[in-house]
Amino acid sequence: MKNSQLLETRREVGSVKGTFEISVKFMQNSTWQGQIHWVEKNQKQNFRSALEMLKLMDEALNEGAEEPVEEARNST
Amino acid sequence: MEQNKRQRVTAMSTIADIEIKQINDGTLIGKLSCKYFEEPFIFVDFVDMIEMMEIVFDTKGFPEKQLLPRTFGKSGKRIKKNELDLSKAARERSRQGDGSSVFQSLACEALKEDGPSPTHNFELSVKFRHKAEWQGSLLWREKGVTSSFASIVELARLINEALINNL
Repeated sequence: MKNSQLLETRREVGSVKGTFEISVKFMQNSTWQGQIHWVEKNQKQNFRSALEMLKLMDEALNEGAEEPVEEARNST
Repeated sequence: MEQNKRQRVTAMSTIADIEIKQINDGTLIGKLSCKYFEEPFIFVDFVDMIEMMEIVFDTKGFPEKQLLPRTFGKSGKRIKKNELDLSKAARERSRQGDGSSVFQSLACEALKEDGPSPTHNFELSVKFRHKAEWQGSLLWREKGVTSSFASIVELARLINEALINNL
């Protein structure tokens, strides 16, 4: 019961999403290198590691999260 | 003299204890404790945990990052050394933006609940941040096994292996 409540709470709070296209071109240094394309803003950036890719996605999602939750609910 | 004494930040001070569990649809929840948090940071996925540790490393300036992270166009928010109160940052992130401690208490309850998958305890020691990645070691306490990792991809694989083997 508690687990589903937890997941539901998280879904409500994080309801603003983003869309990314990830192109992994190399796998050097035990990690990934490539390019990430943020579809909504049509911005591309190269990444040198999986960590850098996650940070780019996080930056994009946080920018998108400035949109009010009510509007996000209506759009989904 | 005491006031002028600089506190040294070393590899020992950024060691974190992680308590992790897999629930329902494979989501990972857990607690992250380190000496800079008054109470453990509750995370609900692997990325949450990574982000919080990055904040700790950036705030303490250790391990020093070799490369400045890339951003989408605008320069992203950069944390300056000793800029943040880490305990406060951990508390606020635990609440996941809903402004209450509901999320935190739900996650704590979920961690305590008995279920098909047990809770695993790890000690994470990140020694370097070279090539925009983490390098360090992970101690799986239940088995007493320490493994090195050269990236968060390897770190995720080690944690996943531990969770799969114990299911």
